[in-house]
This record gives sequence, structure tokens and C-alpha cells, in this order.
Amino acid sequence: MGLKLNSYIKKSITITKPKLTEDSQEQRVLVVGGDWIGEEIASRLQKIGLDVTLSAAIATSDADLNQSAPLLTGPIDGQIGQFQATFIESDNHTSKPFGFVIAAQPAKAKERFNLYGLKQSQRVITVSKLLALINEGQPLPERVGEWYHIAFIDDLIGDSEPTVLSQFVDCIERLKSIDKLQAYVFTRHLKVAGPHLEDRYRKLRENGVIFFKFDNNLPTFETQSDSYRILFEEPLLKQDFELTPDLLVIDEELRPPEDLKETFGQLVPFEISEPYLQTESPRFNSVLTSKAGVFAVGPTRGIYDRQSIIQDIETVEFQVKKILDHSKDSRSLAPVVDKSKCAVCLTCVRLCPHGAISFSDSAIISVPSCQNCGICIAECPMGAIAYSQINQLVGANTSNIVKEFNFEDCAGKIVLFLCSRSAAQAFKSIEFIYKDDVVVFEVNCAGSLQTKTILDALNSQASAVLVGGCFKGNCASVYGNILCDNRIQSINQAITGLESNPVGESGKSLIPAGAATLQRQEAKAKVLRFVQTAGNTPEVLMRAISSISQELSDL
Amino acid sequence: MKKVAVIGSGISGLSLAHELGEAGVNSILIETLPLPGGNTARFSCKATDSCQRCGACLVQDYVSKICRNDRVELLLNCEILDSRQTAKGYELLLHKNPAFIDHLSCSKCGICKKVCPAPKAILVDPFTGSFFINYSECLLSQNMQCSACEQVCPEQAINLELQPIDENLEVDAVALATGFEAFDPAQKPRFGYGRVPGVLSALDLEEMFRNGRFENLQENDRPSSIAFIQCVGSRDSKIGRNYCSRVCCGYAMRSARLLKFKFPEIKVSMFYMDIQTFDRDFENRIDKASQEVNLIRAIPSEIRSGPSGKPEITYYGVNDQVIQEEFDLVSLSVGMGPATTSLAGILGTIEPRADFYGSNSFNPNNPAFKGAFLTGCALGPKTIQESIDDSVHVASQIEFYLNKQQSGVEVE
Repeated sequence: MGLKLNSYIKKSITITKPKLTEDSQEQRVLVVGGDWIGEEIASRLQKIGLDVTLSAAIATSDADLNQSAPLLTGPIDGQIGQFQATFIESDNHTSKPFGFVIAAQPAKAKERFNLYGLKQSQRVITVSKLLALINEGQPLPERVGEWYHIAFIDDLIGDSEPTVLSQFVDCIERLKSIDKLQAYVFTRHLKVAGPHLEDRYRKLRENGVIFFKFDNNLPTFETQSDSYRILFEEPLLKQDFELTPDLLVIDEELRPPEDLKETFGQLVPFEISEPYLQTESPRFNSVLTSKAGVFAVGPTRGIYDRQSIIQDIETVEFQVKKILDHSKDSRSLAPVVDKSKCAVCLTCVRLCPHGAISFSDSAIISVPSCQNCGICIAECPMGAIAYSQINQLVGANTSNIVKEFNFEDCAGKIVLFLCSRSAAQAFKSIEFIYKDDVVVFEVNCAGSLQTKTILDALNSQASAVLVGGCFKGNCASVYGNILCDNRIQSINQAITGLESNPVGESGKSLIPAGAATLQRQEAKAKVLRFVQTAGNTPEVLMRAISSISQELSDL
Repeated sequence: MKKVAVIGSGISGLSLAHELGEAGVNSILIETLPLPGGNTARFSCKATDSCQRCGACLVQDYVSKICRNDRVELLLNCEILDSRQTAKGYELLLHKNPAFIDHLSCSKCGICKKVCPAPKAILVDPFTGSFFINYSECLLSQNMQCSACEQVCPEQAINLELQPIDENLEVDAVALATGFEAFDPAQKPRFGYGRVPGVLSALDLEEMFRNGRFENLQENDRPSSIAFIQCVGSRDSKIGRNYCSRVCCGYAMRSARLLKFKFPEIKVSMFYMDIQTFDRDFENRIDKASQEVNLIRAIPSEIRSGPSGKPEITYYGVNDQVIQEEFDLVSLSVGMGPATTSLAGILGTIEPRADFYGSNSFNPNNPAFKGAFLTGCALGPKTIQESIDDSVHVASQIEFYLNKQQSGVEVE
């Protein structure tokens, strides 16, 4: 009966480029590890037939050099399929190429003795030290009185997380066999947001473990022979107590590895993603980073609990296999450098959020690394980069430029440039309202909008121009939205003449080439705005459109 | 060609189907509702002047990815009546309800919406901009005669005479992405939900944000104070929920910051047991939040209509004194529970559970579950981004399983 239940229409896609590059080293994987995480990844990838190098991070001390694993001697550089890393291995420096790079260094467990003003001793230890003692069956310090008192300090200053609480719970559960044991937990917020943690915490409480939760009046510590006396006001009874535990166990702060910048700083925009390898935008999920072929596992992206790390390890194997078996390029257009125009100013190299551009006698865009945001096209001061048909990439020059924007039918209408990741999605549900009042151009990223394109739109018969991009911190191209916002501000400044010669941070004049051609009178009748929006906030876009309509009717 | 049924088109199902497609596995994404998106589509964007990383926008992103993915077939308006394990995998009995509006012919003119006498019967699909009939609101579902939309449609894209059809579907594996059910706060009568005007569930608040209802308020009608009550239906052994729902501190804090951003004058209080870490850079976020939000460690004993008709919260203060305080609005941060009904209906072997981590919950190593996978909140409370992480991981497990099946090796 001709039912079309599957109402979501498929757009056809082109699939080309099964291989990464011609001289690709795709079978070779570099795993930067340091503990079981790296070892597990390496052994899994070896099992599927890849050539894996497991390396420790960059050598920082002489002691490191005595390790058997090859040590990195400097930052990793390059593109997917062609990463380069240098090692020192039994006194020899070698440089090797890799197809993929996996960041899998261990978490940095930062002890907090200093934070609480305590000194480490036999009776004052970290929670991981206690776990190690239990695991190895080592004896705990002798009891002083009849009862064995253990005090745990968790999250009294700073912040903790479920992984740390589960360490405490592990310890207490496993110390059950000790006769006449009394455990106390001093905390501010119990981080119970992990599987079974709330349940285990309740069972401990029912079995006599005492939990003190403090808000402001934090306990103080007084030195007492080889331990400390804890002085505190019991938060519920409001009475002063003191306790001299036989063992004082202190929490640790779990931090990402400290050498991420030194090792991966050339590959990802670390100054933005700091302290992790994954950029802040929620669009970078799972183990993906902004750089193709570089994966972040566990602590390198702020994941510390064992279960989730194991999940990451299995996922990273999948991601590598996916690229090897199913690498495809769904783009029909990709940016290409016109060598004859390129001045090798490195603007694109600096601004590419995906680290896809390198240079020799001209800028070179790595096709498999490029995510098609178009920022390079918009930012190139020489106009040397343009979109080209992807199947014409080999030996392409900008004669293949695809003319995308046509402002002929814009008379009296508002021109909308909408980011495909946010504003264009939001517009779909309000399209029927504005159908006759606007002309819509969908762009890959707001950051891909060239000054010239915006000026062309302003110079057309259009009544106004509105650019919709992602909210700050949400951009899939890391900062394409901010670049676009800045560009629009400088065009508006140039038009209104508020500043005669605005200069950007780079020292470059912000007056866009071509702005002078705008007739002042003509430009005054126009409105140019940037709006931050998300795919699920059509009301923000509606408000922006109606405020422009209001501005136009006021003029 | 191997095929996987992904059940539920929330963020987990969408991202799972997408990932499977990327890895060369075909999937059928089955959704009972006329729209994809599940629970996630009910959440609002929490961006102030910058993104707060809630991830609610990602559902939109994944729907557009699914639309471009040739390996994913999306079945909306589709229920699963029965299922059984076969030698190959699973056989599902599908009940496909008609969509009435053919999206391929629809020109998105909106005339049908203008003539429809029932206000909520024709809605705009936020993902495609097409229109769809929300049958439960349509007059036809109340046995009334109406064909107004069918008659005016210039494209003749509407056919109200379509009948549902039942169909068998054979698949190699089944993935349950059935998500969660939000706790019904009326089950906790002392919080006054449904009785005391001004007491909302967090989902009601989400809807107010989404509909822009706060922006439309006149200056005088704007709320001057709001209280968030945490752990409603979480960490509560009385109702058999001995777990933390993990996401509520995050969403309440983000909502609080969004309200503060919209109305800097608003007074925000948050009643909590323990504040859970949410998101990267938590320390910084909580510092900022605690400057804007009055954090009170107490769970109210009662919420009732106060002298001025606003919700009045009774709680114990730091020194055990009883405090009564009125707020314009109260938002109950409802927790997550397993989606019991849908799980029970789909795979008879998985029984309804009172709690995510109950003893009879899913175990992938049990042969009774061979070829069945769970992802996202079907496994326990998760944030949107954790659900996506989970789905990428489950996609890798499914791919592994199908490969083993293909090569004839028995999967342990």
C-alpha cells in the first residue's frame, strides 16, 4: 500500500579514499603508556595484527633511561598515517613513523598531605598505599589501645570523585577481618555517583563505620608522637571531639598525566583542551581528539574509574580498526591550497583546529586529517585556499573553486548563514514561519565564512545578514565560532567607523580588505549580526531574527 | 548481510546505530514514538553566554548523521509486540503504526497545522522541519470525524486512512537502548508535586526553558526565587533506590546558572545531601556556582502552599532549628529509574527491575542473552556524553560478536 514509514530522507553521499595516504604507515601504532592501560592496549592491537610500539613518556630523569621500554625524546608530530616520533632505546636515538598515536599514560595520583598540613609517616599514609599493603598482605602499624582506630580523610579540601570513595570503601570492606576495628570517614561531600557505591556506603554505615560530613568547621590536626590527634566539632551533635587514630589514611587527587603537553602539544590545541587531550566541546566524545588518528584513553581525558578505562581500551581498538577497515570520506568538497598564491605566512597552520596543515614551500593540507571546517579558507590573507571537488584534489588548483554563494534572489530579505552543526539544525523547525523572508546558506562551520562572502551579502540587495554559529565552547571546530564572531565585530566596526584602524592580537589590521568598497550610506541601511545558538534552540534564532526585523523597521 | 535491531532512539540508540553504520554494520533503529530523540530530546540547551557542556544538542547532531547514514534505517511509530531467540539471532514481531504524513511529499508549508482544530495534534519535527501527526492528540483517536488536514494539504501528502501493519523482522543481534524513566515525584507526596502550585519536576522546568516560557514573562511575573531539591527518587532506600542518579547535581547546577544568567536578580537555593562531581573542571564550576547559589545541606521535610500561595519549604537548619521559607518556584531534581515496561516487553528473559543494579539485571555472559546487548541508561544512570561513550563501546562489542559468528567461532 505504498507506505513510507521510514520518513527520514537519506541524502546520497560520495565514498572515496579507502586508504589514508599513499605512503601511509597505517599498520604501525604508537601507544604512549606507563602502566597496565598502555600494556593492555598494546597487547590487544598486536592480537589484531598491528605493529605496536609501547613507549614510556618523554624521559625526564636518568632513572627513566634505565627502563627497557623505548622512551620518547620529544614531541610527536605529523598527520594520521604519517606521525613521527623520536626515541632513545639502549642509548640509540631513532626516529620512527606511525599511522596512529594512542595516549594512555597513567593518572597522576597527587598526595594531599600538604593540603591538610600533615606529614607522611608509618601511621599516616595515602589510600593507595593502604590498598597496596592490603594486597600484599603486609601488616598494618601496631594498635595502641584495645580498639584499632582507622580514620579516612576524603575530600575535606579541594574536590574528590567516586573513584576515590570506592578506594576507601574497598579498604574498609577488606579490613573487616581485623578484630575490634573502628573506622571513621571525615568528608564534605560523599561522591557516591558510581555503580553500587551508595549501596556499599550504606552497608558500611549499618555495620558501624562512622561518617562525619563537614560544611565549614573543618577538623584540625595536632601532632601526637608518631601520629596526629584530630580535633573536630561533630557536625550533628555540635560537640567537640578528639580522636587519635592508629592509622590515618589520606585521599589523593587524581589528575591527568603531567607530560601531555610535552608529548602531544604539537598534535592537539593543548592550550585550549588543558589539562586533558580532549577539547572542551561536548562534540568530542569517546576517545576522539580534535586530531585525526590521535586517541585519548582514560586519564588523558579525565576518566579514572577502572570500568570506564577498560571501556576506553576496547573502544580505542575499535576506532583504529574502523579507520583501517572502513575509512571513507563522505565529503564532496575539501579545501585546497593554490601554491601560486600561498605566501607561507602560516596563518592556516596556526589556526587549523585539527592540526591538519603543515608546510614546506607552501601550506599542505592533509586530506585525511582535514575535517572540512573551512577556517583556513576564511583566514587565509592571500585568498589562496578554496573548496574544490574532492575527486579533483590531485593536482588541484583553485581553478576548481566551487562557487557556493549566490545573492541574486536576496532583495529585501534577510540572508542567513547557518552553521550546519547548530543554527541550520535549529532553523529546520522554524523554516515554515520564515520561508518567504529569508535566504538560507548552510555552512560547515561559521568559522568558514570569508569576510568577502559576508561583504558580498551586505552589498547585495539583502536587508540584513545574520550568521548563526555554535555557543562558545560547543564548536566542533574548537573555535570557529569565535573567529567568526570576531570577524563580524571587526566588519561592523569598520562599517560604523567606530575605530578607524582596529588592530587584532596578531598586530594585523582588522579592517577587512574590501570593507572600503562599502558605500557608507548603503552599509548603514544594513544590519550584520552574529548569534550563538544550538541545534535545539530555535527560539534563540527566532529572537535574533525578530530583533533584526525590529532594527530594520527602526532604521 | 548482518543486521542489528537497535531498540530505542534516544541518544544511546542514535549514537549506537551511527557507530555501527560507520563500522559497516547495518541496523534498524526502532522507536515507538513519532519522533526520534527519546528522553534527551526533552532536555533544553543550558548554554548561558557559553556552552555548559550538557550535551542536549548532540541528539540533533546524531539525527542529522543518521539521516546521512545509508546503513541505518529508522522506524518510527513502531512497537515491538513479541520477540524470540532463533538460531541466527532474534525474531521480532513489529507493529508499525502509520505516519499519516508522507515526509517525502511534504513541502513543509504548515497549512495543515493552521487548520487543525486540536492544538497539539500536528507538530513540527525539529529534526527535519517536516510535520507529523501526534495521533494521541488527534481527534480521530477520540473517535471523532475530522479530515481537515488531509483536505487542505496542497501536496496530498496526508492519508488518514492508512492502517497499522504487523511484520516479522529477523536480526542477528538486538541492542536495547531503552533508556530510563524519570521518577514520578507524586510518589513522594510530602514534596507537594501536583498539589502545590509552583512545585515543578525538573522535566517541567526543562520544558519551560525549551518553550522559551521564561523569556515571554512580563517583568513582574518573572520568578524572584527558585529552590532546587536534590535526590528526589534517588539515594532513597524507602523506595528501593539505593543509588545516586549521577546526573541531577549537574543538571540542577546548570539550570541554576542558566536562570541566574537570564535573571541576575533571581535568588537560587539548592537543597542537597552531597554534591556530586559533574563534568571536567568541576572545582572551578562549583566555585562559580556556589557564588551564585545558596547551598543548603538539608532535604526538606515538607513543601506546602505558604501564606501567600507560593510553595513554602520546611527544613532543618544547621542548628536544628525549623526553618520555613517561601519560593516562587521549586524544582524537584527527579532521579532515574530503569525503563521497566519496555524492557519486559522486548525480551521476555529480562524481567522488570526495581533498580538498575538489581540482582536479576542483564549479564552479557549469560547464554540466555546471547546476541543481546544493552547500552546507555538501560544499564544505569549516565550523562548524555557517557551514554555516547557507552554506545561507541557497545558498537565495538557487537561488531566483535558478529565477526565471531561469521567465522563460525562460538562466542563465550
